[in-house]
Amino acid sequence: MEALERAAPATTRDWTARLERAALAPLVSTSRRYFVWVGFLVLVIAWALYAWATQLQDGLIVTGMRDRISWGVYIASFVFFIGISHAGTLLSAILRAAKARWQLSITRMAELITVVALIVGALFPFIDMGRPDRFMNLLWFGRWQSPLIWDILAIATYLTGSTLYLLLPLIPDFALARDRLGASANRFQRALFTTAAVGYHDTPSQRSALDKAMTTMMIIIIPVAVSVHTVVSWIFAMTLRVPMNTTVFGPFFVAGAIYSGIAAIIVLMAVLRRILRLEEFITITQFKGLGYLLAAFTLIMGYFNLQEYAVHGYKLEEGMPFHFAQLMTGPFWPLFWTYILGCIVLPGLIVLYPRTRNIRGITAAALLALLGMWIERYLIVVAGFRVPLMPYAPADYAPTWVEWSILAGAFALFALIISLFTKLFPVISIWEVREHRGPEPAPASSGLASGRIRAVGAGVLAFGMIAGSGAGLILGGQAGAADPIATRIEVALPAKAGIGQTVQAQARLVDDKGGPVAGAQLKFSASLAFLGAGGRVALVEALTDKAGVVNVEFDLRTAREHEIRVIFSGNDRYAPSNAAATLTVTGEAQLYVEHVGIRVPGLNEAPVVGRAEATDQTGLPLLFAQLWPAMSGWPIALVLIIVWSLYGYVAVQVAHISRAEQSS
Amino acid sequence: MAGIPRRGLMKFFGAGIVAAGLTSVGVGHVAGSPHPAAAQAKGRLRRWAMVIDLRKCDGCQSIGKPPQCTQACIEGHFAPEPMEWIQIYESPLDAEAKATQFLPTPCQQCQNPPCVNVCPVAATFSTPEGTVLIDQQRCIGCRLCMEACPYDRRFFNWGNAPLPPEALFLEYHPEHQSPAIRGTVMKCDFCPDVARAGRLPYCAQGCHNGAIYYGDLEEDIATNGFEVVKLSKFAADNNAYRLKEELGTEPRVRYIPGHGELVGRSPKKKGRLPTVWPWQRLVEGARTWKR
Repeated sequence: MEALERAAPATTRDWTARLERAALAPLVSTSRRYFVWVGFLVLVIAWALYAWATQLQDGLIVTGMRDRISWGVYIASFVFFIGISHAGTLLSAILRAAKARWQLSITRMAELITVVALIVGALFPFIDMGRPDRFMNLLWFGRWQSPLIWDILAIATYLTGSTLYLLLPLIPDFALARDRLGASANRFQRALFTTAAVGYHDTPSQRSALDKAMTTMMIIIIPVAVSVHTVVSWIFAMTLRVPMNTTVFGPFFVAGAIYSGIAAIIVLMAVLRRILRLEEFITITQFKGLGYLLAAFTLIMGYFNLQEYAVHGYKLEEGMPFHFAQLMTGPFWPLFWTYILGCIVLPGLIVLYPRTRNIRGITAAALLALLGMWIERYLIVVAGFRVPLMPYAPADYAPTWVEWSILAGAFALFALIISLFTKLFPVISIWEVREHRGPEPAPASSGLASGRIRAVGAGVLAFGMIAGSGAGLILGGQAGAADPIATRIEVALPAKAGIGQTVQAQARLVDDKGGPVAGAQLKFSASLAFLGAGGRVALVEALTDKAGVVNVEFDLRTAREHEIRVIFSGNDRYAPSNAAATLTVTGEAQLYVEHVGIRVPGLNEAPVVGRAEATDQTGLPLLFAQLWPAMSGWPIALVLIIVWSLYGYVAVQVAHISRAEQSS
Repeated sequence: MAGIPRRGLMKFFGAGIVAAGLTSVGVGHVAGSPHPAAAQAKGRLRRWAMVIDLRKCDGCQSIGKPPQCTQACIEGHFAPEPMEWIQIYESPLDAEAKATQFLPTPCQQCQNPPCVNVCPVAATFSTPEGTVLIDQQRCIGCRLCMEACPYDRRFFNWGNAPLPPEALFLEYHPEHQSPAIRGTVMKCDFCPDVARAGRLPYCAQGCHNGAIYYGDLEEDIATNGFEVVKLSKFAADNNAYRLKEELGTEPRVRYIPGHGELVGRSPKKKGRLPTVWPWQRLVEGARTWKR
């Protein structure tokens, strides 16, 4: 470290010294306003805890959610917070991989947002649970097939990865704090710096291990982040509800997540810059760089909205006219148009218009983008679930004070954790910024055109159901005053049959002189009993041919001795008659095997009670059929093993850093 | 709350979790007693099904009462207000809803059940008999199944459901779901326990028109209590259909199209009486909710 500084020219040394001073100062000096701020946040959180206690005591009845709109602010906020967690990935990984440098002074903040947003966001599904006391069931009985389990696995993986990625670049800075702050830090801080620096002294071998670890994380964190928000979208997209039954949700959610993530960094950067006096190191360069990214994502968001509304709006399948009406002119119109015009179009215009392309303007655009993404998540959840599934009046949802309080508490918790962290480590990655000393020139503006978002308005069409009227079957009866002619039925039938086996039967209808009766209906029936009811069950009917004969087929699935009765009901000319024959049906094989839809291993295989069904549905031997549902998560398990192995590799590199110190 | 010992039956806390253990990873399994259908491993399993003849459903307009299938179900299961496990929807037959049909809608007992697919803890599961049940002692109340169900047939216990005193003496079972447990999901269980005892499900018992045929696809038989029919023939002869067939959920409930014409209802006569929960007056000050 000393060697590095000696090599640098004097102006650089001054700049570096100022950077270190500015970045490390908040760790040792705390103003009274900080305590007032923290006290305020704690009060808000305490109020939210009171609201949550009310909910735990009385149940979810204290919220505005009900059966038809059974998710609300909680799940919308869950998606929102997980979304802004994409801030860190974007800046730290994507921009670092692209070798952009202007973002280095804000990567620390971005990674901090990621970790804190994930922690806060992950609380919401827990708060939303009807039985939080049974949380451990997710562990005991967790199923690979459930989107909620995917969420838990993906978020846990992402949180671990982002925590690693927050801590890795902190190692040299902790070492710096350990070496520089000395006595001015309190005892707890000294212990933290010494431990978290893992004995880093910037030796070549330590530097190489750190590089390896950071490169690994840089690469692995991008697919993990993309997977997280894709999976979050799948709790909606895996349902059969009309507005959500779409394949665009995964990328749409990822784009929205990055959009809100960029906005979150801009806001945090604007706040910390003022409060921590970092104006020299976070300049208009960073704001413009992120501002252009924000503008680019307004276009991407506009594109996805066009995709969503044009494709649905063109076809107007059932439920969509209702959905379009409620969004654009119905109860959600203020939210919807605020979102489209105020939070996607306007931020893009603010950034691209040169006179508003300053720190204040870009921060305002970012605040609008954040607001817009929360609104969008709210609309996806609440408006999406409001579309009636069956003929009932659409439900209504209004969040209660409990939900608003918990949401406020979540924002307060978010701010509190970040505030506390500013006292534990420098919010600028000193060593990285130092290495690329000085502010970089602003990236060349690429002349982004503003997005004109066109939502396709839809006229409401109602589909009429055509009630079919049945045509009456008119049989010409011959009126005759004479007495009906007596008839007789001769039945030919096998004596035995298996259950479900097709039985071929013949019957002949003759008159009293033995002549055939043509065009008469013969009904075959059996006597069956079921659940306390019993009686003649129609098996088959047929009309006699010119020879007076019917040939029919039927099957019986009740194993017993049946009396098959053939009945002629009579008509104007012939008198009714009937005849019977005995048919013994035997067998005990299972006949009805349900062939269900496509089953994708690990995706939609349902748990099934009992062995018989498991064998039936998979057609596999018993043992394998029982094991299969448990093993079917292998694609997910494989991905998890790969990702967590890479985390393990990173941990090994950190151990190398630590061991290198002991050996030196 | 009126001093009803509603907390007396909370013994299931923890017990179910321990009982089921890790042996059942991935495979649904009712905590506690083994599933009754699974016990009879040999022989032919029932495949419960239903055919609802809409030609005979007038929403109980003719007798001037709330729909009696729903009432019988509520009284048989102690279904909490506002749960109508079998609900009579009034569905428009034309664009202006000048004519309507009544649509009794129980849980459709899908064979490719979206709700079962998404459950994170296998609290809702398919049985060999084809019913879809919920183990309320395992349910964590995430309501993912309610989002997944395309038929709006799942109900949540948002609060402490008011129940008649006698409901609290029942022993809980997924095939009966009583007494209701706060923070869990409930729905029509298709009454296989009632059918195994040789009786019709409550809704079919309650229907005085005999519109609800309950049956077994294995034996290919069904009855509404008045007549017995060969299920496949009855459904085919009358052009039976299934709700939202295009979704591929493979429901076990079939409908014969109609609007009550066999029992003298004009499709232009609209409206039915609201369902009542007869014990509400017994549970004073109880806090219910709307759907």
